[in-house]
Amino acid sequence: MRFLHLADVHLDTPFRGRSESLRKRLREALRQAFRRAVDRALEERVDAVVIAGDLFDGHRLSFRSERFLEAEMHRLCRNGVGVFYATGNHDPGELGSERSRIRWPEGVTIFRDPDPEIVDVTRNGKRVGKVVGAGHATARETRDLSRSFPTPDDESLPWIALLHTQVGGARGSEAHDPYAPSDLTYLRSAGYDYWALGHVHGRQVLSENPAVHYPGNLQGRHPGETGSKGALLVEIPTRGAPQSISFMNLAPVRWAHLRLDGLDGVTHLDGLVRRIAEGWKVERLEDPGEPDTEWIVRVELTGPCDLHRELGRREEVTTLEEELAGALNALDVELRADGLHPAADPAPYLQRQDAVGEALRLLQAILDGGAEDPAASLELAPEDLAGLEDELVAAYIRERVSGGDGELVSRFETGGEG
Amino acid sequence: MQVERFGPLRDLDTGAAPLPGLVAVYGPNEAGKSSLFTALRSLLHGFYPASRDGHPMAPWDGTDAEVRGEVEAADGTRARIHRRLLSTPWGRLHLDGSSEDLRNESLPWTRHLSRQLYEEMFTVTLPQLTALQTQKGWAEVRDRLVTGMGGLDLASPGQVAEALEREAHGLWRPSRRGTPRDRELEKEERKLHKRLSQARERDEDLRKAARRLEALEVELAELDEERRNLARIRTFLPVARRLRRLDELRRTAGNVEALNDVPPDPVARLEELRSHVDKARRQREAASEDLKALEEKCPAESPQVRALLERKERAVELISASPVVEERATRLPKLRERLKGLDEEVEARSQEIFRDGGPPPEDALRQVDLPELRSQVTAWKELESRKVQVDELFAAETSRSEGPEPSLRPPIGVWVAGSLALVLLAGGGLPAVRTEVASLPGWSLLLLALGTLSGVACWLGWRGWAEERRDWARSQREREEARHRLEHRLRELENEGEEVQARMTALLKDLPVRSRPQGPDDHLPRELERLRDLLTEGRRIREEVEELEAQDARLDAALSDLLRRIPGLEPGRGAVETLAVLRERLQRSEEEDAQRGELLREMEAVRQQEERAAGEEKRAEEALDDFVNRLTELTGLEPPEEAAREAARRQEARSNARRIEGELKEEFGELEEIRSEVERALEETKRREGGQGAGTPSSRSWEDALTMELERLDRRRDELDSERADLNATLRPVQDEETVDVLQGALEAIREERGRVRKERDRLWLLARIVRVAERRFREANQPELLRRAARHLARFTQGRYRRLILGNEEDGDLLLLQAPHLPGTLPAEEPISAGTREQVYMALRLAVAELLEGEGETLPLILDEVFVNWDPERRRQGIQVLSALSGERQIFLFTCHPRIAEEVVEKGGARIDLNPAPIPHKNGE
Repeated sequence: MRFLHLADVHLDTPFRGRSESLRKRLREALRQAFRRAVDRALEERVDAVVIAGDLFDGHRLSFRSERFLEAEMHRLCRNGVGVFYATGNHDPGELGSERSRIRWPEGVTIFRDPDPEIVDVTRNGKRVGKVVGAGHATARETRDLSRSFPTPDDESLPWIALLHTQVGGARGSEAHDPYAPSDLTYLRSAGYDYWALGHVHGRQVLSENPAVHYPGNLQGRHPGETGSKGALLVEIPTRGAPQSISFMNLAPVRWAHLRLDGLDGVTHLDGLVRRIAEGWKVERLEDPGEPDTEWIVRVELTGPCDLHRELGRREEVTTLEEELAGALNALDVELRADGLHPAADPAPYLQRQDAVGEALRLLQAILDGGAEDPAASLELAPEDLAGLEDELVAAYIRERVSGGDGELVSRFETGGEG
Repeated sequence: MQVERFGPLRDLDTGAAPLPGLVAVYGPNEAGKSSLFTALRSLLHGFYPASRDGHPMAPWDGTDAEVRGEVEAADGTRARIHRRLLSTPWGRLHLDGSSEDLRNESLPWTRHLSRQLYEEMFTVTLPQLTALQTQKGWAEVRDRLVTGMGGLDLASPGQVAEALEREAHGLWRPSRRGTPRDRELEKEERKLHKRLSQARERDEDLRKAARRLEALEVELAELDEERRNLARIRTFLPVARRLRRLDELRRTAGNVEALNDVPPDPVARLEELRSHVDKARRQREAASEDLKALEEKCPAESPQVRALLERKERAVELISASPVVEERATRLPKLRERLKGLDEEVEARSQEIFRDGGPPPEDALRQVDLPELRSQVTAWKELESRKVQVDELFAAETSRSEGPEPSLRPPIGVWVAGSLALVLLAGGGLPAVRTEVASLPGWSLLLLALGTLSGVACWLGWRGWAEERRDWARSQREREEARHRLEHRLRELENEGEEVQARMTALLKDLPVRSRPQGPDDHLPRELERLRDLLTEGRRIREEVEELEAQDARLDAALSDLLRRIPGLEPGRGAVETLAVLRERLQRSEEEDAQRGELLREMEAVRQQEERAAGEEKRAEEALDDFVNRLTELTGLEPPEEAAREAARRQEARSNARRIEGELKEEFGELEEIRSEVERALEETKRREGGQGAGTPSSRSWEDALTMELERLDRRRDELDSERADLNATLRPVQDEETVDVLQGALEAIREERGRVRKERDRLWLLARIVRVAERRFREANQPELLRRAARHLARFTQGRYRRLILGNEEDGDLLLLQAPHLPGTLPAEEPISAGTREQVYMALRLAVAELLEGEGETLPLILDEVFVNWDPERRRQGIQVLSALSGERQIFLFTCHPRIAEEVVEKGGARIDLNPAPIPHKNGE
């Protein structure tokens, strides 16, 4: 049996790119990645395409995406490729009203229920394998659905398990809400030839034999989802036979995160651009990407820097981002200079017996935890904070004022203006 | 304090004794007061800037700035300090007999206050005091003196907090005031929400429209299918009629296979066959008559003609030689005549050339090398000619005149002159024997002279004779030599002539050539050559004559042989005539034979024509019989005309049946399938009509009904098409508008931006809060003590007139208030309080700040610069009095350019340092 394993497509992700053109490109990149997956599935003459959940980002799907999805699914089924799609937390079965508008072609099997279902995979009318899948009925599935998967019988056909789950201990699982948990030990002992999983967006091999794989998502969606993205091409000749698993890079756009510090010697924007370009060059030596890869780069600057004041101005940053996009040959560059602070050393001011020293000592106490309740120390109520969401007030305040000593000193030195 | 070099100061020494607590530093402007102040500060905290190049007080002459001093701490510890500003600062601290490297560090007793803070807080200048009168108010002064502890290097906390709050408010405000960035984004977000809602509605419309389109497509497809079915049924109705017609025709045609060999029009065919029989018969009879006529016309063949024509090739061959024979008959006599002439000429020439006159030896003649002979003859003749020339030369040389031979003795004149000379010379020379030459007589001299002349004449005559004799002898010798050369040449020519004659003899050795007395000449080679040519030509003509005679003989034999084989043909006189007869008879025979051959060929053609006509007649009769029999057999009718008409009728029926069948097949495929489909269609029609249709299913009324139904379907299709076009027209622009995912992305971007804006606002606002809280805390912690201390100093400055300083409420703007015994309440430290009083308030506050800053640390010197300028004399004295009192606790330096103030300081027990302006340095170092 030969199949393509993909997951977490998240169609219609509302990208947060800063410009409409960038958001448009990212939305198109998502569709392009899926179209590439279909192309490769047809080129590789796979028997099936298995989608381990989160095909959609939410319960609402745009009309255009509906049409796109119908067309691509028709393309697969028209060529005899079966599609097996298990719902996930972003597209649970209960939210099927929108998706029920999609006219799935014959040949698409959707696993919506938590109860596993066994479906044959055929090639020219002949059975070549079995797919056992279970879907998520709600967006808050807390059960370990893998426990209800049946034990494969003794047939010679390979058995594939399809599930959207968070395997305990998997890298990146801590970044997700505790949701649909499963246990790797149990998965390994369940008797399946291949566990086609979804949910964790980073590609990883949890077990090689038996195979338990997260293919990662199809296209990175934000700066945290770096690295190549795509799907896994799996070939299992017979049950228990050695498997051939290879990764296919399908994402046309990749995110990258470049962190730079030690900028205290940089005094001109040209120099900063050069430093960033050098850093980018070094970064790409290890992972150059595909020749046609388009990059979106987040550049995070930290530490003392004489350009702190210039980089505090949005217009300046915007201009610099455009310049950097050209210098880095990137689709877009996002420059984050929040971590920069003036090169001035706050230490001498800490000793001053005046309001400046007092302010720096108070700030230090808040950051060090000396002030147990920063809100009380600063005599403010949570509602005074505009950006407070789910975080704890103390942590929020500490996060906000972190690195503020340099700015305070700078403002005292320069007359108050930022 | 000793200042060796510092700015303009040189060798300033305040003496060995310690300076008292209050010190007046007096000097006019430019005297170095600021330099001394900097030197004092440098003594305590080191040099700043910490390099000679950057330090403003580095001596102009390039030497090192240097300052020494001795300090005494509160605990009585005394230390000596020595600092120099080299390329990098150098410093030593001598304490308790030990010395340590100080570099540029502050003294141990001053380190509780930074250099910068000391500079700002322990130095009070006139501008700072007067500034109180011009600044906005106490709030700002308070920021400086109370909260900032008087520091001037930094912005006030209030300024910083306000700036932070202002920026924070630009991003977000809790109230509805202003339009911060967050509010702008919120408005934008609301708009986007509205657009998103519209986009969702559009999406829904799109979905509905798309579904409706799909339904329309399905309905259209079904309608098209229905229409196709009906159209097919309608098409089948005439087909059914055509099928019935086909069946009728097939029945009429009967056995279709039997008609296959019957021509398309049997009646015409019958007539045609009969016409063929008549025509063939007529042709045969005409040919027979023609043949008879030709046989009568054709003559019998002659034996002579036959024999001649059988040998025609030989005859033609012989006849073709006629011109040659005629030429030969002409040429042969001519050749014979020519040969005779040649023989006669040869004989005549031989008798001339050869000795015996017999026939020429032809072979020997041919072997003679005539060109060589001709060459030798020419050579001989040339030799003869040269010999004649040499003979003539010799004769000429011999006969040439040689002139008379000169005499063998000199002429007589020579002899006479010689004798005379001897005589004269002898006569004239005798006296000379006896006397001196100089004394010779005249005549003697004359004789000597004449004797000399005669001697000369004798010598000249002798010489002429001798030369003539010599020329004659030379001429004789030359003539003799020329004769000898000619004789020798003559003999050589004769020898050569003999050799030439010998070679000619050798060439002619086989020929009996007559000898010729005059020797060989050039005629002989020509004659020999002519004779040889005559012999050659004679032999050639003789051979030709023989050949011609042989040819004549062979022709005669051939003609005789030919004529012998042809009966009735006699030979003529001679070959030429015989050949002419033969040519004439052959030509006549050929003409006769050609005429007869033409008649025979014509007869053969007519005979063949007759045979063909007979065969054609027979075949036509057979075909007619077969056709008539076939018709009779096929139709069972007689006579043949009746049977033919019946066959024609059946054929027409079959043809029509085939045409209809072909058309049906071409239109609908296999006939049986058509038939079954038609039957089904008819059944369907019956079903649709419920069996109530008028007439049979294939009738016109049924067709009309179907047509009406089709028209109805067409109308419906037009409606659906129109609706589809409307939907597409509606959808197309909508699809180009904003979509949900686009707007969701924009919304997310706005939300993210709002989150970022709010967090940035919080950061700024929190920093502002930190500054505000810190400022208040510091103020609250230090203000009471500060005001208490300041009030104490103020009371001393004002001699108790103002005793308290009070801070007003925040609602009142944190006013600083003065309280005095003579006042019922408090007064703000602002106008109309006098400027002097306000300066006193400021001085009191600065002193209090200094005390607070020092805390428990060492008390450091205070430096006042012209602070009493605006004070009235009384208050000034009081102020100095206060300073004098304070100087017990803290050393105070009062810098002034007013001598009176310096004097008053001294009067109060203080010390005085006078500074004099330094000379202005010049560039050249003078």
